[in-house]
Amino acid sequence: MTIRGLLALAYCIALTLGVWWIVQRNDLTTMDFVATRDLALNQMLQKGDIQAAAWNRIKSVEGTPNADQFIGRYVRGPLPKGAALRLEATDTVPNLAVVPGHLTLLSSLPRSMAAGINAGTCVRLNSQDQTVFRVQAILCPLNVAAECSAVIDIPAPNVNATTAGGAALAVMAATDCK
Amino acid sequence: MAGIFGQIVTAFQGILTRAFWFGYFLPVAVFTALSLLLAQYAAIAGADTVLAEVASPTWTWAAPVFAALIVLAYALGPLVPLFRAILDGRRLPERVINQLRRYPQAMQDRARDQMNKAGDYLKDTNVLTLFARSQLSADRARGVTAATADQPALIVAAQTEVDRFLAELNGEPPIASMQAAVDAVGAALRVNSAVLVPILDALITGVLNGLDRVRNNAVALNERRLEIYNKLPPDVQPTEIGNARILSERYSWNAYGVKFEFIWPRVQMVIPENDPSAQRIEAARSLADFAVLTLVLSVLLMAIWLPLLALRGKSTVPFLALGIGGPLFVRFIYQLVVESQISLGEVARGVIDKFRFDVLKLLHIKPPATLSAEREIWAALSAVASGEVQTADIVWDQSPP
Repeated sequence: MTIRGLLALAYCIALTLGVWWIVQRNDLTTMDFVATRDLALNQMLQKGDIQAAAWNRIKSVEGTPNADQFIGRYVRGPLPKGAALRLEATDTVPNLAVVPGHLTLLSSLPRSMAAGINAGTCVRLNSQDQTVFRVQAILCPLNVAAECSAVIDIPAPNVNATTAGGAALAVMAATDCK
Repeated sequence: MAGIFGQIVTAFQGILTRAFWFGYFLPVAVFTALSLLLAQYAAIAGADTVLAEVASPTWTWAAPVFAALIVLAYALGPLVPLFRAILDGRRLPERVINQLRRYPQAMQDRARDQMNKAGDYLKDTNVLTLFARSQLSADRARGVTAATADQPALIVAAQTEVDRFLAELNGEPPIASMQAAVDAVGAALRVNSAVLVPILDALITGVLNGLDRVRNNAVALNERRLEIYNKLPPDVQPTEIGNARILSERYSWNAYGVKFEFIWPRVQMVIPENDPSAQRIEAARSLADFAVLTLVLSVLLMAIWLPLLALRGKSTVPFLALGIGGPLFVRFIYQLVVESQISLGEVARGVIDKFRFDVLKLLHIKPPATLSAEREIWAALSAVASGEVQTADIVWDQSPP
Protein backbone atom coordinates (compact mmCIF):
# COMPACT_ATOMS: atom_id res chain seq x y z
CA MET A 1 0.00 0.00 0.00
CA THR A 2 1.29 3.48 -0.86
CA ILE A 3 1.84 6.27 1.66
CA ARG A 4 -1.25 8.01 0.30
CA GLY A 5 -3.28 4.86 0.84
CA LEU A 6 -2.00 4.53 4.40
CA LEU A 7 -2.81 8.16 5.15
CA ALA A 8 -6.32 7.77 3.71
CA LEU A 9 -6.84 4.62 5.80
CA ALA A 10 -5.60 6.37 8.96
CA TYR A 11 -7.93 9.30 8.27
CA CYS A 12 -10.94 6.98 7.80
CA ILE A 13 -10.10 5.18 11.05
CA ALA A 14 -9.77 8.52 12.89
CA LEU A 15 -13.11 9.65 11.45
CA THR A 16 -14.82 6.43 12.54
CA LEU A 17 -13.33 6.77 16.03
CA GLY A 18 -14.54 10.37 16.19
CA VAL A 19 -18.09 9.34 15.30
CA TRP A 20 -17.98 6.51 17.84
CA TRP A 21 -16.71 8.90 20.51
CA ILE A 22 -19.45 11.48 19.82
CA VAL A 23 -22.12 8.77 19.89
CA GLN A 24 -20.85 7.29 23.16
CA ARG A 25 -20.31 10.62 24.88
CA ASN A 26 -23.74 12.00 24.04
CA ASP A 27 -25.63 8.72 24.49
CA LEU A 28 -26.85 9.01 20.93
CA THR A 29 -27.73 5.32 20.82
CA THR A 30 -30.86 6.04 22.86
CA MET A 31 -33.89 6.57 20.69
CA ASP A 32 -35.56 9.97 20.96
CA PHE A 33 -39.32 10.50 20.92
CA VAL A 34 -41.38 13.59 20.15
CA ALA A 35 -44.86 14.66 21.28
CA THR A 36 -47.48 14.20 18.58
CA ARG A 37 -49.74 16.79 20.26
CA ASP A 38 -49.50 19.44 23.00
CA LEU A 39 -48.98 17.64 26.32
CA ALA A 40 -49.99 19.20 29.67
CA LEU A 41 -48.17 18.89 32.98
CA ASN A 42 -49.03 15.55 34.59
CA GLN A 43 -50.64 14.21 31.46
CA MET A 44 -50.71 10.44 31.61
CA LEU A 45 -49.16 9.29 28.33
CA GLN A 46 -51.26 7.06 26.14
CA LYS A 47 -50.72 5.28 22.87
CA GLY A 48 -50.32 7.85 20.09
CA ASP A 49 -49.18 10.71 22.36
CA ILE A 50 -45.56 10.26 21.24
CA GLN A 51 -43.68 8.85 18.27
CA ALA A 52 -40.03 8.11 17.41
CA ALA A 53 -38.18 11.25 16.31
CA ALA A 54 -37.19 11.58 12.65
CA TRP A 55 -33.56 12.30 13.56
CA ASN A 56 -33.12 8.77 14.97
CA ARG A 57 -32.40 7.75 11.37
CA ILE A 58 -29.16 9.72 11.37
CA LYS A 59 -28.18 8.76 14.91
CA SER A 60 -27.73 5.06 14.13
CA VAL A 61 -29.77 4.15 17.21
CA GLU A 62 -30.26 0.57 18.27
CA GLY A 63 -34.04 0.90 18.52
CA THR A 64 -34.56 1.07 22.30
CA PRO A 65 -36.51 2.05 24.31
CA ASN A 66 -39.88 1.18 22.86
CA ALA A 67 -42.61 3.82 22.74
CA ASP A 68 -44.82 1.49 24.85
CA GLN A 69 -42.53 2.13 27.82
CA PHE A 70 -43.95 5.66 28.00
CA ILE A 71 -47.58 4.53 28.32
CA GLY A 72 -49.00 5.16 31.79
CA ARG A 73 -46.18 7.55 32.77
CA TYR A 74 -46.69 11.25 33.55
CA VAL A 75 -45.13 14.23 31.79
CA ARG A 76 -43.09 16.38 34.19
CA GLY A 77 -43.84 19.65 32.41
CA PRO A 78 -45.96 21.02 29.57
CA LEU A 79 -44.64 20.07 26.13
CA PRO A 80 -45.62 21.59 22.77
CA LYS A 81 -46.30 19.35 19.80
CA GLY A 82 -43.05 18.20 18.19
CA ALA A 83 -40.91 18.69 21.31
CA ALA A 84 -38.49 15.88 22.21
CA LEU A 85 -39.34 13.69 25.18
CA ARG A 86 -37.08 11.24 26.95
CA LEU A 87 -38.05 8.55 29.41
CA GLU A 88 -36.13 10.38 32.12
CA ALA A 89 -38.40 13.41 31.64
CA THR A 90 -41.47 11.39 32.65
CA ASP A 91 -42.51 9.96 36.03
CA THR A 92 -44.47 7.05 37.38
CA VAL A 93 -46.63 9.34 39.57
CA PRO A 94 -48.12 12.78 38.82
CA ASN A 95 -46.54 15.83 40.36
CA LEU A 96 -49.54 17.21 42.26
CA ALA A 97 -49.74 20.54 44.07
CA VAL A 98 -52.67 22.21 45.83
CA VAL A 99 -53.23 25.95 45.47
CA PRO A 100 -54.03 27.71 48.78
CA GLY A 101 -57.80 27.92 49.21
CA HIS A 102 -58.37 24.95 46.96
CA LEU A 103 -59.01 21.32 47.67
CA THR A 104 -58.04 18.30 45.66
CA LEU A 105 -60.89 15.99 44.84
CA LEU A 106 -60.44 12.44 43.68
CA SER A 107 -63.33 11.58 41.40
CA SER A 108 -64.20 8.19 40.00
CA LEU A 109 -63.42 7.88 36.30
CA PRO A 110 -64.67 4.88 34.35
CA ARG A 111 -62.09 3.26 32.09
CA SER A 112 -64.30 3.94 29.13
CA MET A 113 -63.95 7.70 29.75
CA ALA A 114 -60.22 7.64 30.60
CA ALA A 115 -59.25 7.92 26.97
CA GLY A 116 -60.99 11.30 26.65
CA ILE A 117 -59.99 12.83 30.01
CA ASN A 118 -56.44 13.64 31.03
CA ALA A 119 -54.47 16.39 32.76
CA GLY A 120 -55.67 19.77 31.54
CA THR A 121 -59.12 18.51 30.43
CA CYS A 122 -62.08 20.62 31.57
CA VAL A 123 -64.87 18.72 33.24
CA ARG A 124 -68.19 19.29 34.98
CA LEU A 125 -68.69 17.30 38.18
CA ASN A 126 -72.40 17.56 38.74
CA SER A 127 -75.21 17.41 36.25
CA GLN A 128 -77.06 20.07 38.23
CA ASP A 129 -74.10 22.38 38.63
CA GLN A 130 -72.67 24.00 35.48
CA THR A 131 -69.35 24.92 37.11
CA VAL A 132 -66.34 23.60 35.16
CA PHE A 133 -63.01 22.50 36.65
CA ARG A 134 -59.65 21.43 35.26
CA VAL A 135 -58.37 17.90 35.75
CA GLN A 136 -54.92 17.87 37.36
CA ALA A 137 -54.17 14.26 36.53
CA ILE A 138 -55.79 10.89 36.14
CA LEU A 139 -54.78 7.75 38.01
CA CYS A 140 -55.34 4.33 36.49
CA PRO A 141 -54.38 1.11 38.33
CA LEU A 142 -52.53 -1.57 36.37
CA ASN A 143 -55.46 -3.92 36.84
CA VAL A 144 -57.61 -3.19 33.83
CA ALA A 145 -60.74 -4.27 35.72
CA ALA A 146 -60.30 -1.47 38.27
CA GLU A 147 -61.75 1.98 37.52
CA CYS A 148 -59.56 5.06 37.12
CA SER A 149 -59.71 8.26 39.16
CA ALA A 150 -59.46 11.90 38.16
CA VAL A 151 -57.62 14.35 40.41
CA ILE A 152 -59.49 17.66 40.26
CA ASP A 153 -58.59 20.97 41.82
CA ILE A 154 -61.61 22.73 43.30
CA PRO A 155 -61.83 26.08 45.09
CA ALA A 156 -62.91 25.43 48.70
CA PRO A 157 -66.24 27.39 48.48
CA ASN A 158 -67.36 25.22 45.58
CA VAL A 159 -66.82 21.91 47.30
CA ASN A 160 -70.30 21.37 48.77
CA ALA A 161 -72.23 22.62 45.78
CA THR A 162 -70.31 20.59 43.22
CA THR A 163 -70.17 17.32 45.09
CA ALA A 164 -73.72 17.32 46.45
CA GLY A 165 -75.37 15.81 43.42
CA GLY A 166 -72.88 12.95 43.06
CA ALA A 167 -69.95 12.86 40.74
CA ALA A 168 -70.82 12.65 37.05
CA LEU A 169 -67.81 13.77 35.03
CA ALA A 170 -68.58 15.43 31.75
CA VAL A 171 -65.95 16.86 29.39
CA MET A 172 -66.33 20.56 28.63
CA ALA A 173 -64.62 22.99 26.29
CA ALA A 174 -61.23 24.29 27.42
CA THR A 175 -62.43 27.90 27.32
CA ASP A 176 -64.95 27.15 30.06
CA CYS A 177 -62.24 25.96 32.45
CA LYS A 178 -61.67 27.83 35.69
CA MET B 1 -24.33 52.02 12.11
CA ALA B 2 -24.95 51.05 8.50
CA GLY B 3 -23.61 54.46 7.53
CA ILE B 4 -20.33 53.93 9.39
CA PHE B 5 -20.04 50.45 7.92
CA GLY B 6 -20.60 51.81 4.43
CA GLN B 7 -17.99 54.52 4.99
CA ILE B 8 -15.44 51.94 6.15
CA VAL B 9 -16.13 49.75 3.10
CA THR B 10 -15.80 52.75 0.76
CA ALA B 11 -12.59 53.90 2.45
CA PHE B 12 -10.95 50.49 2.18
CA GLN B 13 -12.22 50.00 -1.36
CA GLY B 14 -10.30 53.07 -2.38
CA ILE B 15 -7.07 51.92 -0.75
CA LEU B 16 -7.05 48.20 -1.51
CA THR B 17 -7.06 46.50 -4.89
CA ARG B 18 -9.59 44.10 -6.31
CA ALA B 19 -6.91 41.41 -6.05
CA PHE B 20 -6.83 42.00 -2.29
CA TRP B 21 -10.60 41.68 -1.86
CA PHE B 22 -10.78 38.50 -3.90
CA GLY B 23 -7.41 36.97 -3.12
CA TYR B 24 -7.08 37.65 0.59
CA PHE B 25 -10.22 39.11 2.14
CA LEU B 26 -12.75 36.63 0.73
CA PRO B 27 -11.00 33.47 2.03
CA VAL B 28 -10.47 35.07 5.46
CA ALA B 29 -14.12 36.17 5.70
CA VAL B 30 -15.42 32.74 4.66
CA PHE B 31 -13.03 31.00 7.07
CA THR B 32 -14.20 33.23 9.94
CA ALA B 33 -17.88 32.68 9.16
CA LEU B 34 -17.44 28.90 8.95
CA SER B 35 -15.45 28.87 12.19
CA LEU B 36 -18.24 30.73 13.96
CA LEU B 37 -20.79 28.26 12.64
CA LEU B 38 -18.69 25.27 13.69
CA ALA B 39 -18.06 26.84 17.11
CA GLN B 40 -21.78 26.59 17.70
CA TYR B 41 -21.79 22.88 16.84
CA ALA B 42 -18.72 22.31 19.00
CA ALA B 43 -20.60 23.86 21.95
CA ILE B 44 -18.04 26.63 22.39
CA ALA B 45 -19.30 28.95 25.13
CA GLY B 46 -20.87 32.11 23.75
CA ALA B 47 -20.93 30.95 20.11
CA ASP B 48 -24.75 30.84 20.09
CA THR B 49 -24.96 34.38 21.39
CA VAL B 50 -22.41 35.68 18.90
CA LEU B 51 -24.23 33.97 16.02
CA ALA B 52 -27.55 35.45 17.11
CA GLU B 53 -25.88 38.87 17.38
CA VAL B 54 -24.34 38.57 13.92
CA ALA B 55 -27.70 37.63 12.39
CA SER B 56 -29.38 40.59 14.09
CA PRO B 57 -29.87 43.71 11.93
CA THR B 58 -28.83 45.87 14.89
CA TRP B 59 -25.43 44.23 15.29
CA THR B 60 -23.16 47.01 16.47
CA TRP B 61 -19.86 45.18 15.98
CA ALA B 62 -20.17 44.82 12.19
CA ALA B 63 -17.83 47.69 11.35
CA PRO B 64 -15.03 46.79 13.84
CA VAL B 65 -15.20 43.10 12.87
CA PHE B 66 -15.06 44.05 9.19
CA ALA B 67 -12.03 46.24 9.84
CA ALA B 68 -10.40 43.44 11.87
CA LEU B 69 -10.94 41.00 9.02
CA ILE B 70 -9.33 43.43 6.58
CA VAL B 71 -6.32 43.78 8.88
CA LEU B 72 -6.09 40.00 9.25
CA ALA B 73 -6.31 39.50 5.47
CA TYR B 74 -3.73 42.23 4.94
CA ALA B 75 -1.40 40.54 7.41
CA LEU B 76 -1.85 37.14 5.78
CA GLY B 77 -1.12 38.54 2.30
CA PRO B 78 2.69 38.53 2.59
CA LEU B 79 2.53 34.94 3.86
CA VAL B 80 0.88 33.66 0.67
CA PRO B 81 4.25 33.24 -1.14
CA LEU B 82 5.45 31.21 1.85
CA PHE B 83 2.33 29.02 1.70
CA ARG B 84 2.88 28.61 -2.04
CA ALA B 85 6.51 27.65 -1.47
CA ILE B 86 5.42 24.99 1.02
CA LEU B 87 2.75 23.70 -1.35
CA ASP B 88 5.10 23.48 -4.33
CA GLY B 89 7.74 21.78 -2.19
CA ARG B 90 10.43 24.47 -2.10
CA ARG B 91 10.10 24.98 1.66
CA LEU B 92 9.66 21.36 2.64
CA PRO B 93 12.35 19.38 4.48
CA GLU B 94 14.60 17.30 2.22
CA ARG B 95 13.33 14.01 3.64
CA VAL B 96 9.72 14.93 2.91
CA ILE B 97 10.66 16.10 -0.59
CA ASN B 98 12.34 12.77 -1.33
CA GLN B 99 9.36 10.84 -0.02
CA LEU B 100 6.83 12.93 -1.95
CA ARG B 101 8.89 12.88 -5.13
CA ARG B 102 8.61 9.11 -5.40
CA TYR B 103 5.01 9.25 -6.56
CA PRO B 104 5.38 11.79 -9.43
CA GLN B 105 8.68 10.09 -10.32
CA ALA B 106 6.86 6.78 -10.72
CA MET B 107 4.18 8.57 -12.72
CA GLN B 108 6.82 10.04 -14.98
CA ASP B 109 8.50 6.66 -15.46
CA ARG B 110 5.16 5.11 -16.34
CA ALA B 111 4.33 7.97 -18.71
CA ARG B 112 7.74 7.61 -20.36
CA ASP B 113 7.25 3.85 -20.83
CA GLN B 114 3.82 4.36 -22.31
CA MET B 115 5.11 7.13 -24.56
CA ASN B 116 7.96 4.93 -25.78
CA LYS B 117 5.56 2.06 -26.40
CA ALA B 118 3.26 4.35 -28.35
CA GLY B 119 6.25 5.68 -30.32
CA ASP B 120 7.44 2.16 -31.17
CA TYR B 121 3.95 1.13 -32.21
CA LEU B 122 3.64 4.20 -34.43
CA LYS B 123 7.04 3.49 -35.99
CA ASP B 124 6.16 -0.17 -36.66
CA THR B 125 2.77 0.83 -38.08
CA ASN B 126 4.43 3.38 -40.39
CA VAL B 127 6.93 0.81 -41.66
CA LEU B 128 4.23 -1.81 -42.14
CA THR B 129 1.95 0.62 -44.00
CA LEU B 130 4.74 1.58 -46.40
CA PHE B 131 5.76 -2.04 -46.84
CA ALA B 132 2.17 -3.18 -47.43
CA ARG B 133 1.56 -0.65 -50.20
CA SER B 134 4.68 -1.61 -52.15
CA GLN B 135 4.40 -5.33 -51.38
CA LEU B 136 0.75 -5.62 -52.43
CA SER B 137 1.43 -3.68 -55.66
CA ALA B 138 4.34 -6.00 -56.43
CA ASP B 139 2.31 -9.13 -55.60
CA ARG B 140 -0.50 -8.03 -57.82
CA ALA B 141 1.84 -7.30 -60.68
CA ARG B 142 3.53 -10.65 -60.14
CA GLY B 143 0.19 -12.45 -60.16
CA VAL B 144 -0.84 -10.79 -63.42
CA THR B 145 2.53 -11.66 -65.05
CA ALA B 146 2.56 -15.27 -63.87
CA ALA B 147 -0.93 -15.85 -65.23
CA THR B 148 -1.35 -18.83 -62.93
CA ALA B 149 -4.57 -20.64 -62.32
CA ASP B 150 -6.99 -19.28 -59.72
CA GLN B 151 -6.68 -20.55 -56.17
CA PRO B 152 -9.92 -19.47 -54.48
CA ALA B 153 -8.85 -21.12 -51.21
CA LEU B 154 -6.18 -18.45 -50.78
CA ILE B 155 -8.74 -15.69 -51.41
CA VAL B 156 -10.98 -17.17 -48.73
CA ALA B 157 -8.01 -17.41 -46.33
CA ALA B 158 -7.05 -13.79 -47.10
CA GLN B 159 -10.63 -12.66 -46.55
CA THR B 160 -10.65 -14.39 -43.13
CA GLU B 161 -7.37 -12.73 -42.12
CA VAL B 162 -8.53 -9.29 -43.29
CA ASP B 163 -11.86 -9.67 -41.46
CA ARG B 164 -10.04 -10.64 -38.27
CA PHE B 165 -7.71 -7.66 -38.62
CA LEU B 166 -10.60 -5.24 -39.30
CA ALA B 167 -12.46 -6.60 -36.25
CA GLU B 168 -9.49 -5.54 -34.12
CA LEU B 169 -9.54 -1.95 -35.35
CA ASN B 170 -11.38 -0.58 -32.29
CA GLY B 171 -8.38 -1.44 -30.14
CA GLU B 172 -4.69 -1.64 -30.93
CA PRO B 173 -4.23 -4.51 -33.41
CA PRO B 174 -0.89 -6.29 -32.85
CA ILE B 175 1.71 -5.74 -35.58
CA ALA B 176 1.79 -9.53 -36.16
CA SER B 177 -1.92 -9.56 -36.86
CA MET B 178 -1.61 -6.76 -39.40
CA GLN B 179 1.38 -8.46 -40.99
CA ALA B 180 -0.57 -11.71 -41.24
CA ALA B 181 -3.41 -9.93 -43.05
CA VAL B 182 -1.00 -8.27 -45.48
CA ASP B 183 0.81 -11.58 -46.13
CA ALA B 184 -2.46 -13.44 -46.71
CA VAL B 185 -3.71 -10.79 -49.18
CA GLY B 186 -0.27 -10.84 -50.91
CA ALA B 187 -0.38 -14.65 -51.24
CA ALA B 188 -3.86 -14.46 -52.76
CA LEU B 189 -2.77 -11.75 -55.19
CA ARG B 190 0.31 -13.63 -56.35
CA VAL B 191 -1.72 -16.55 -57.68
CA ASN B 192 -5.07 -15.00 -58.48
CA SER B 193 -4.35 -11.66 -60.13
CA ALA B 194 -4.36 -13.12 -63.65
CA VAL B 195 -8.13 -13.20 -63.43
CA LEU B 196 -8.91 -10.07 -61.49
CA VAL B 197 -12.06 -10.27 -59.51
CA PRO B 198 -13.63 -7.42 -57.53
CA ILE B 199 -13.04 -9.31 -54.31
CA LEU B 200 -9.27 -8.91 -54.71
CA ASP B 201 -9.64 -5.13 -55.06
CA ALA B 202 -11.88 -5.14 -52.01
CA LEU B 203 -9.23 -7.09 -50.08
CA ILE B 204 -6.48 -4.64 -51.02
CA THR B 205 -8.66 -1.62 -50.18
CA GLY B 206 -9.80 -3.22 -46.93
CA VAL B 207 -6.32 -4.01 -45.66
CA LEU B 208 -4.81 -0.65 -46.74
CA ASN B 209 -7.70 1.39 -45.27
CA GLY B 210 -7.39 -0.64 -42.08
CA LEU B 211 -3.67 0.08 -41.91
CA ASP B 212 -4.28 3.81 -42.48
CA ARG B 213 -6.79 3.85 -39.67
CA VAL B 214 -4.41 2.04 -37.34
CA ARG B 215 -1.69 4.52 -38.28
CA ASN B 216 -3.96 7.52 -37.58
CA ASN B 217 -4.95 6.04 -34.23
CA ALA B 218 -1.28 5.42 -33.44
CA VAL B 219 -0.44 9.06 -34.24
CA ALA B 220 -3.23 10.28 -31.94
CA LEU B 221 -2.18 7.87 -29.19
CA ASN B 222 1.43 8.98 -29.52
CA GLU B 223 0.42 12.64 -29.20
CA ARG B 224 -1.72 11.89 -26.14
CA ARG B 225 1.06 9.98 -24.42
CA LEU B 226 3.55 12.72 -25.30
CA GLU B 227 1.22 15.33 -23.83
CA ILE B 228 0.87 13.32 -20.62
CA TYR B 229 4.63 12.90 -20.39
CA ASN B 230 5.23 16.61 -21.00
CA LYS B 231 2.92 17.51 -18.13
CA LEU B 232 5.78 16.61 -15.82
CA PRO B 233 9.08 18.51 -16.00
CA PRO B 234 12.35 16.57 -16.42
CA ASP B 235 13.38 17.58 -12.87
CA VAL B 236 10.21 16.28 -11.29
CA GLN B 237 8.98 18.16 -8.20
CA PRO B 238 7.46 16.63 -5.05
CA THR B 239 3.98 18.06 -5.61
CA GLU B 240 1.62 18.67 -8.50
CA ILE B 241 1.71 22.40 -7.73
CA GLY B 242 5.51 22.35 -7.89
CA ASN B 243 5.44 20.65 -11.27
CA ALA B 244 2.94 23.19 -12.58
CA ARG B 245 5.19 26.02 -11.35
CA ILE B 246 8.34 24.57 -12.88
CA LEU B 247 6.64 24.03 -16.23
CA SER B 248 5.31 27.60 -16.20
CA GLU B 249 8.63 29.12 -15.25
CA ARG B 250 10.72 27.02 -17.58
CA TYR B 251 9.50 28.93 -20.64
CA SER B 252 11.68 32.03 -20.20
CA TRP B 253 14.76 29.81 -19.80
CA ASN B 254 13.92 27.61 -22.79
CA ALA B 255 13.03 30.54 -25.04
CA TYR B 256 15.45 33.32 -24.05
CA GLY B 257 17.95 31.75 -21.67
CA VAL B 258 16.83 33.83 -18.70
CA LYS B 259 15.59 32.50 -15.40
CA PHE B 260 12.00 33.29 -14.52
CA GLU B 261 12.81 34.70 -11.09
CA PHE B 262 15.18 37.18 -12.72
CA ILE B 263 12.99 38.48 -15.50
CA TRP B 264 9.50 38.28 -13.99
CA PRO B 265 9.80 41.04 -11.34
CA ARG B 266 11.55 43.32 -13.85
CA VAL B 267 9.01 42.72 -16.59
CA GLN B 268 6.20 43.67 -14.22
CA MET B 269 7.88 47.00 -13.56
CA VAL B 270 7.83 48.03 -17.23
CA ILE B 271 4.20 47.17 -17.96
CA PRO B 272 2.20 50.39 -18.37
CA GLU B 273 -0.69 50.65 -15.91
CA ASN B 274 -3.28 51.00 -18.66
CA ASP B 275 -1.99 47.99 -20.60
CA PRO B 276 -4.44 45.04 -20.67
CA SER B 277 -1.56 42.76 -19.64
CA ALA B 278 -1.48 44.41 -16.20
CA GLN B 279 -5.13 43.52 -15.69
CA ARG B 280 -4.54 39.97 -16.89
CA ILE B 281 -1.66 39.55 -14.47
CA GLU B 282 -3.74 40.95 -11.60
CA ALA B 283 -6.67 38.64 -12.39
CA ALA B 284 -4.45 35.55 -12.70
CA ARG B 285 -2.47 36.38 -9.57
CA SER B 286 -5.55 37.13 -7.47
CA LEU B 287 -7.03 33.77 -8.50
CA ALA B 288 -3.77 32.02 -7.62
CA ASP B 289 -3.57 33.82 -4.24
CA PHE B 290 -7.23 33.10 -3.53
CA ALA B 291 -6.70 29.40 -4.25
CA VAL B 292 -3.54 29.16 -2.10
CA LEU B 293 -5.04 31.01 0.87
CA THR B 294 -8.32 29.09 0.64
CA LEU B 295 -6.42 25.80 0.56
CA VAL B 296 -4.35 26.71 3.62
CA LEU B 297 -7.37 27.98 5.55
CA SER B 298 -9.43 24.90 4.60
CA VAL B 299 -6.75 22.59 5.96
CA LEU B 300 -6.52 24.77 9.07
CA LEU B 301 -10.30 24.69 9.47
CA MET B 302 -10.32 20.90 9.41
CA ALA B 303 -7.30 20.61 11.70
CA ILE B 304 -8.94 22.86 14.30
CA TRP B 305 -12.57 21.90 14.15
CA LEU B 306 -12.55 18.15 13.54
CA PRO B 307 -10.92 17.39 16.92
CA LEU B 308 -13.08 20.01 18.65
CA LEU B 309 -16.28 18.62 17.14
CA ALA B 310 -15.24 15.10 18.16
CA LEU B 311 -14.44 16.17 21.71
CA ARG B 312 -17.26 18.65 22.34
CA GLY B 313 -19.90 18.17 19.63
CA LYS B 314 -23.34 16.84 20.44
CA SER B 315 -24.17 15.49 17.01
CA THR B 316 -22.34 13.35 14.50
CA VAL B 317 -23.77 15.27 11.52
CA PRO B 318 -21.45 18.35 11.50
CA PHE B 319 -18.46 16.13 12.34
CA LEU B 320 -19.18 13.78 9.45
CA ALA B 321 -20.06 16.64 7.10
CA LEU B 322 -16.69 18.28 7.80
CA GLY B 323 -14.83 14.96 7.89
CA ILE B 324 -16.14 13.75 4.53
CA GLY B 325 -16.78 17.03 2.74
CA GLY B 326 -13.55 18.66 3.95
CA PRO B 327 -11.06 16.43 2.10
CA LEU B 328 -13.16 16.60 -1.08
CA PHE B 329 -13.20 20.38 -0.89
CA VAL B 330 -9.45 20.49 -0.14
CA ARG B 331 -8.78 18.28 -3.19
CA PHE B 332 -10.91 20.56 -5.34
CA ILE B 333 -9.09 23.66 -4.12
CA TYR B 334 -5.74 21.92 -4.57
CA GLN B 335 -6.62 21.36 -8.22
CA LEU B 336 -7.66 25.01 -8.41
CA VAL B 337 -4.20 25.99 -7.12
CA VAL B 338 -2.59 23.84 -9.83
CA GLU B 339 -4.79 25.25 -12.59
CA SER B 340 -4.38 28.83 -11.38
CA GLN B 341 -0.60 28.32 -11.34
CA ILE B 342 -0.73 27.09 -14.94
CA SER B 343 -3.00 30.01 -15.87
CA LEU B 344 -0.62 32.51 -14.25
CA GLY B 345 2.26 30.86 -16.09
CA GLU B 346 0.48 31.24 -19.42
CA VAL B 347 -0.12 34.94 -18.77
CA ALA B 348 3.53 35.31 -17.71
CA ARG B 349 4.75 33.76 -20.97
CA GLY B 350 2.85 36.28 -23.04
CA VAL B 351 3.97 39.16 -20.88
CA ILE B 352 7.63 38.11 -21.05
CA ASP B 353 7.39 37.77 -24.84
CA LYS B 354 5.88 41.22 -25.12
CA PHE B 355 7.85 43.28 -22.59
CA ARG B 356 11.31 41.72 -22.30
CA PHE B 357 12.86 44.30 -24.66
CA ASP B 358 11.36 47.06 -22.51
CA VAL B 359 13.36 45.61 -19.61
CA LEU B 360 16.54 45.92 -21.67
CA LYS B 361 15.54 49.48 -22.55
CA LEU B 362 15.00 50.24 -18.87
CA LEU B 363 18.45 48.86 -18.11
CA HIS B 364 19.99 50.99 -20.91
CA ILE B 365 21.03 47.95 -22.92
CA LYS B 366 20.85 48.02 -26.70
CA PRO B 367 18.26 45.54 -28.02
CA PRO B 368 20.04 42.50 -29.49
CA ALA B 369 19.88 41.69 -33.17
CA THR B 370 19.59 37.92 -32.76
CA LEU B 371 18.19 35.41 -30.33
CA SER B 372 21.62 34.11 -29.42
CA ALA B 373 22.79 37.67 -28.72
CA GLU B 374 19.75 38.15 -26.51
CA ARG B 375 20.51 34.95 -24.64
CA GLU B 376 24.05 36.18 -24.00
CA ILE B 377 22.78 39.48 -22.63
CA TRP B 378 20.36 37.75 -20.23
CA ALA B 379 23.03 35.31 -19.14
CA ALA B 380 25.39 38.20 -18.39
CA LEU B 381 22.74 40.15 -16.48
CA SER B 382 21.70 37.10 -14.48
CA ALA B 383 25.32 36.41 -13.63
CA VAL B 384 25.78 39.98 -12.40
CA ALA B 385 22.63 39.72 -10.30
CA SER B 386 23.75 36.47 -8.71
CA GLY B 387 27.25 37.81 -8.00
CA GLU B 388 29.14 35.60 -10.45
CA VAL B 389 32.44 36.72 -11.99
CA GLN B 390 31.99 38.38 -15.37
CA THR B 391 34.26 37.47 -18.26
CA ALA B 392 32.93 40.21 -20.54
CA ASP B 393 31.67 43.67 -19.77
CA ILE B 394 28.11 44.83 -20.45
CA VAL B 395 27.80 47.72 -22.90
CA TRP B 396 25.23 50.41 -22.07
CA ASP B 397 23.13 52.01 -24.73
CA GLN B 398 24.25 55.66 -25.03
CA SER B 399 21.53 56.74 -27.45
CA PRO B 400 18.98 59.24 -26.08
CA PRO B 401 15.68 57.69 -24.91
